Amino acid sequence: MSVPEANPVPASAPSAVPTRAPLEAIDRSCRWPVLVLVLLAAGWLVTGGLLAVLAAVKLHAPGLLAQHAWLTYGRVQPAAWNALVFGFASLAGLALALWMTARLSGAPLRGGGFIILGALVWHLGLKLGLLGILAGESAGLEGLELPPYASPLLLLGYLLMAPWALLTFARRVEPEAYVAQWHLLAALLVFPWVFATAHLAVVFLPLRGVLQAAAQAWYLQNLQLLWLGFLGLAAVFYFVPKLTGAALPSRSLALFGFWTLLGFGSLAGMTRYAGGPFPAWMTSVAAPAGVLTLFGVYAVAVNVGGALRGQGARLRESVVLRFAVLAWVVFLVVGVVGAVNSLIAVRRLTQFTLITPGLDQLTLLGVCGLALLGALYFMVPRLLGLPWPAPALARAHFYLAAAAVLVLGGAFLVGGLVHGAALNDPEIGFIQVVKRYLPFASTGTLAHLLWLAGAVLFALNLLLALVRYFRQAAQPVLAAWTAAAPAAAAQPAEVKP
Amino acid sequence: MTPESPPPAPRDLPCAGGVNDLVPGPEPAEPRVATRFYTPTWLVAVFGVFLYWGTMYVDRHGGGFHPMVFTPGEMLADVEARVPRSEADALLARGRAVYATYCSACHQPNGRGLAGQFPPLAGSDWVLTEGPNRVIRIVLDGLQGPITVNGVEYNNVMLPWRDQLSDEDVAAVVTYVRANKDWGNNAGPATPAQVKAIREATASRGRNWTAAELLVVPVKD
Amino acid sequence: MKHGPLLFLGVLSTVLASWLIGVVAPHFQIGSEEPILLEDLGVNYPVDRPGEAKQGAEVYRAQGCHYCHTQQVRQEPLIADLTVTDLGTNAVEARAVVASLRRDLAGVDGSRLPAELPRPLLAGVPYAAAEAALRRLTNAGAQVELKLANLGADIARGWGPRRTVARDYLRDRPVLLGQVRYGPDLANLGARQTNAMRLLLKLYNPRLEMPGSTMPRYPYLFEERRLRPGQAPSPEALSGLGFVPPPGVEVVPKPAAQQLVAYLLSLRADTLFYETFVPRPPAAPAPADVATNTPAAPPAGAAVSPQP
Repeated sequence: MSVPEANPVPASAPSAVPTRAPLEAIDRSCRWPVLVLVLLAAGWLVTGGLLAVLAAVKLHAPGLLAQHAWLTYGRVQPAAWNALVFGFASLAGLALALWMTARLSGAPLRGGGFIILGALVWHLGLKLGLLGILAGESAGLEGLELPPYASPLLLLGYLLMAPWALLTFARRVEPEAYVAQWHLLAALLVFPWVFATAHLAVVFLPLRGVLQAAAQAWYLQNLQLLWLGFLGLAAVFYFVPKLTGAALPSRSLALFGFWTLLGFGSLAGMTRYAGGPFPAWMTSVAAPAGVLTLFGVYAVAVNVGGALRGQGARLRESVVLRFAVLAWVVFLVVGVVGAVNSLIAVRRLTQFTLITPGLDQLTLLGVCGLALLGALYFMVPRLLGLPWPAPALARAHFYLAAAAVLVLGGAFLVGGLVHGAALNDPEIGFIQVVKRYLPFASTGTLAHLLWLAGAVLFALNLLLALVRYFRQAAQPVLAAWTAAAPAAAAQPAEVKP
Repeated sequence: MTPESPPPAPRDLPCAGGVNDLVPGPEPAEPRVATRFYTPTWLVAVFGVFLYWGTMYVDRHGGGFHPMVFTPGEMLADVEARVPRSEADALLARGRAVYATYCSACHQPNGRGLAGQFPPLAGSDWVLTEGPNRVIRIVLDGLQGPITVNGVEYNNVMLPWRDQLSDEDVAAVVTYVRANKDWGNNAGPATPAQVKAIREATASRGRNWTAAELLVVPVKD
Repeated sequence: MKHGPLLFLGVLSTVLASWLIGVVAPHFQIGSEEPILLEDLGVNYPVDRPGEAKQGAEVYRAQGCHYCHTQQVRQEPLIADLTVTDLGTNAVEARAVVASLRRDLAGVDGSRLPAELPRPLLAGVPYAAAEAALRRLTNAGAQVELKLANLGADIARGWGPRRTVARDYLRDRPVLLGQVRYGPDLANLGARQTNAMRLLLKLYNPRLEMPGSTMPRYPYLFEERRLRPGQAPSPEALSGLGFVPPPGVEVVPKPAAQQLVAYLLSLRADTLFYETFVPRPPAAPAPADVATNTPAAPPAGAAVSPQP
């Protein structure tokens, strides 16, 4: 291994405890399981990005490729979402969770074989699911489209992977867990339960009537906040204080924010169906819960902001830090807009508009995607023991991804208000409503193209890094071969005049 | 020739901390969180205020947690108020008032009448006929002479109410008497239109009915 | 925190609580709703869809129509205005009722009521309160007019006479309510649109009916059949709205298209029952004329005459 020696002992570890493993030993234990996950995630990032571009194009160019049933908007859109959520975000998130838990616990990761097996099972299930969705076998409700032959495979894969993180956490050196670890644990514990229960309640043993939609709303909220959101927050809470060297200002505030986000955020799902065919109390309980998540958002703002004070120079130098900080900013925006958007009076304007897909995509790409990408850019060199072959591509990726998120967020949030105002005016015929929201919705194409471009750069970088790694690993073997051959060829060469 | 090649030199400028994140090597310490600062009291206070606001919000918009209230901001009373009332319900309420004013003196508030003097209305075979035609005639023009109600004979005079009660009032009180569930009556209502028709048909009568005359009249059209 | 199990318990109990509140409690409330018998119509509502429409629901799901279309109609809380048009013959009693409803209009002789008719009395009050006031005033002999405020943009657009409620979806599996309106709401499409051929043409090419539409085409739901020279197109071949098939070819809907159209024509949520009554359902508004892009006429005025 060519990693230089002398990794500093982390300041948080009391020097009296000698059992904390050195960071490169931890990274080495994580290498193959986490890299397999990262590779699969990169593949799904590109696939999902491509599908998302296609879906975005079809919103304003409906005649494009219309003769192919498997490419119709109603199939490509859920395919893109599932690829990005369960392909990229979940796999990269699991990679992050495993690696970060091992690091924070100070114990090497075990169970590598099971993790790789689980990743492959998940990958297979998702592939089957996506092919099923494109073939028209989607299970229907948004977010729960995976056909019944695919979702159990995902759950199985998850159960093969996730317990190793919990076991590593159980073997941690320090009894007190860091803030990022809480978020990871919450995410890892919540995902299988929410995933399984929602699929049971909607796909396998459907509840009666609109209760399916109630279960779906609960599921989507928990998936977005407690899985995607918390994974992103874990990356932010880890990388920002680490790379700036400043500590988070307040553990007590972090605790308060964590439980507030968890407790109230979990309840806020029904705002998705405000005004819908549900008893009024369901929405009126979810709305104040959504507003109360503001306190969690405030805690995140103050804590991370405190660690960032005066770090402008560091921000300019570090790509990873930039990714993490932008993810944090998007989280604050989504948090505030989402809280305001929970109120029933506001929903009168924004319900059924571009704001819903806007906030969903901002959470997926902006909060979770950016944070995980930054984390991956940090993790891969330390797993491989090699620097990124093309750091310029990494910097370019940041600008492309940032542009994508900003364009998407701006267009869909503003467009949502325009859309809502038009929908609420019965004098405006529907075709006029379409003409009003279309410019904003079309901007999604540009945003997804930018995102895809960044994704391609990332995949390229990753491939180059892997090629370089294998070439380096193969060098001893090659060297041995070439050592034998010149010795054999030397004599005939000398004989020649 | 070494079995391992030397690490490639970092391509980027090292940052102020001397660490480049994209290159493996010495890295900053693991993140820490300070434990000195506590959650500010004012934040907890504001949180409490918001919690209170939240409960008020649920109160205002939750419709009393009733599953039949679908529009936030409404109450069950609003949903109930929209259910159209059948004509019979409106008449029942009015009939109760008319009965109390004009009829209960003799027939008693409980509809049981007075033994030997005034026949009962509760469970009465004359009241619970299939149609209200005979009862309407009795109310309009009164009754005298012997009449057998539920097997018991009564012989008294009932005053006519033709000039005192309007069509609506007659229909109301007849509906009330025939459909009063407290008395155990559950016969069909009478409508003002029916009363009006009978009033016109018997306009020239001018005297009380007798039981024998009434028994010839069909109970319903 | 120091205690892993504590975190574990905390997280699970929080999410369990949200599950109980968000799904289990509603299940106890409306999970055992059954279709109800509507006596005057003699049907169990919601009506079971005929076979072809049921298969059409599967086609709807498979094409992902719900990613652009919703199937829910919203409604505003019902508020009303009350206007007195005549105090009637029993003016004293009427004035007493007015005074009890509006303390500021009670004078020594009730003369602070506006002199001109009609006299606005209550504005923007919940319907139940307005209706109770109406009954009290008419019992006192006054003439009153009750006017409903706007029922909401969805109903004003003609997307339905009333809001959709849980009972409307009892037989749907899966329930595809939709979350974004890239296209119009479809909850009452069967009430607005009765022409199957028009729907088929719209599926084949939405631009035939509405030039600026961004709805995708579904040509794979149709097949082209060669016509022998001189053979007339079969009755189910697409025709109308200026559609011209390629020469010598007729475009015929596949069974999937027929099923989808049957499903779309069966979409109705306008029956009135306990939780969906609106005081006087607006007269069915002239549906939006899609060919000329006229929006739907707003519902006829919903004034309610005094009831005895």
